[in-house]
Amino acid sequence: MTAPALKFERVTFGYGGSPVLAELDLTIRPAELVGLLGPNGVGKTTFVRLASGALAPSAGRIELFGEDLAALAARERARRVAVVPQETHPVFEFTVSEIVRMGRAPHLGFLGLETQRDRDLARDAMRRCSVEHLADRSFRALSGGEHQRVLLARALTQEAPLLLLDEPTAFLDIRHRLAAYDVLVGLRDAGLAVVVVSHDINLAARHCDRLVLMHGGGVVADGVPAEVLTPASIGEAYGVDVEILTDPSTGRPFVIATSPR
Amino acid sequence: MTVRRGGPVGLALLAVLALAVLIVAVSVGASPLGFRDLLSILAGHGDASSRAILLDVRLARVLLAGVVGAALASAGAAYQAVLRNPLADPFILGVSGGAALGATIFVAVSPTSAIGSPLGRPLAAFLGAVATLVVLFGLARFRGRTATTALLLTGVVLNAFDSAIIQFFVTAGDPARFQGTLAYLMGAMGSPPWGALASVAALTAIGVGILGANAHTLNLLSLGAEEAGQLGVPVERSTWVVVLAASLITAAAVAFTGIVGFVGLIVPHAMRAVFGPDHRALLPACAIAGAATVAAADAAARTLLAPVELPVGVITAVIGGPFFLVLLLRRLRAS
Repeated sequence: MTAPALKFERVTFGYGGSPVLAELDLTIRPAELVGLLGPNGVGKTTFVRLASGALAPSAGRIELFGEDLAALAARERARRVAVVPQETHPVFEFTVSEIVRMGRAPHLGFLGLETQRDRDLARDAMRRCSVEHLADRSFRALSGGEHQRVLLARALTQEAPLLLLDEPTAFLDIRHRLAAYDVLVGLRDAGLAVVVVSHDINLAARHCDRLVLMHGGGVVADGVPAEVLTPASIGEAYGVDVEILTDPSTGRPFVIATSPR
Repeated sequence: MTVRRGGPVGLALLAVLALAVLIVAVSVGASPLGFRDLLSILAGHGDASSRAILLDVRLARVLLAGVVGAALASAGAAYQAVLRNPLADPFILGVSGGAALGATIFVAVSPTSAIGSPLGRPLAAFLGAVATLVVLFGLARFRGRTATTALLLTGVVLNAFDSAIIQFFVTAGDPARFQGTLAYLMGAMGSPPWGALASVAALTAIGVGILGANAHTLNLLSLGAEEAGQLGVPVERSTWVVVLAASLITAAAVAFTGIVGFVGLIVPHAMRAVFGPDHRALLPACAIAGAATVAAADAAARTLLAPVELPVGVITAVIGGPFFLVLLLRRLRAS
């Protein structure tokens, strides 16, 4: 049995005041596409930061592919887990291609010089994320949706077996949302572990194998979409009343929020 | 808008241009010796006095100016990346002032036999630069863009403080020790002893080499600590390595020549416009163009009011001050 891609064991973390995450247990396995849901401020972004080593837990243990995350050097960590942040604000005028090629950083040698293979991987990732035509444009001049596609391409270029995406589709139009999920499903099929933080419950329900609903510093529900998306769990997490239909094309649940509680 | 970048060919052209500037700088000065005399001396001819003027006075001085320029421009580029702030510059941050203070204290208190040692002043300057950075880190909390105002203000105050203490030492200290150092605050190039030149050049080579080896790390650090870490950079360690290397070359630049402002601001900006922000191309471009810029500024300082010499920092400040204000204005408009 292979080690899980990511394992949180009783992880607690707070930014000073009351903990954002309290003794969180969560395991993500390879070849799994997991949607991480929950209301604002519930600790989804904190989860991504902890899992990528940007923050260290105040208690508990995090494992990446069976290894203690805290014991991994930054470079080794970045070869195992790639992150698509919500947004990025470079202060300099990097081109899209330069930003995407930065994903190769944990694989480059002493002087940070790129080989043809590095450039090919970046080009391929840009094609998959439909940003190839933007390669020589200034990143800062692009729209929010284009930024997100570029950041996804950068994460693909990183070639990590675990991918964490923090609301990667927030600024995308519906066509590009579907295209982005197509890419993620493809990655899952190729054996990657993929975790998507999302506010779009229905999009996540349609594409993810498994949903994790967070609230109050922990997990409210965890399982296949039909198990997780119930009026009770959504009511508890989001504080809204919902009606749940069945998506006729997939058989997955489809949530309509009707009123705040 | 497609972005075009000057590549290796652009760098080669820049190097040729810089070499031409250095040769012109050696060819102009208070005495009427010019390019022909330089050629004949290099060919092994020429009398002893023109030899002394061209090589020991002018060439040494132009080389010092070149090394100082390369150091300040590279340091500026490095500070701008780690601070995520395009307005950072060794002078504006107060690092040059701290280095100058360190060197001044060394001159004031060191035993007479050690004053002339080629490494004493640079190392004291390095300590001054690092002390400044510790204060800067403490007060302005480096990361993130919100710190801009705090950073610039801290630099202004540190500069004023350092200048005051330097003035105190120069005024109250032994005049023999501080001969000719009044101009120190605005950059007193002078013709260095070869030992001092070698020391400055060696320290600059070490620091620029360290920055060069971390060029791609600078790209990643410029995205911010969190992203750099997620892309595999050991952020804390890399930041210190880069900042210490930049401070070492700032100290080397300041030790014997005093404070030459704005070079670390102007040159990286101009080079970024031509070569882009990738430090693997930007750093060599800054080193080359920085050398040419200070050599040219010093040639102007020597010749504009000849036989009177202006401090070289006057030239760079006259150009750099307005340049800084324009950048600041653009930044304020954008936000």
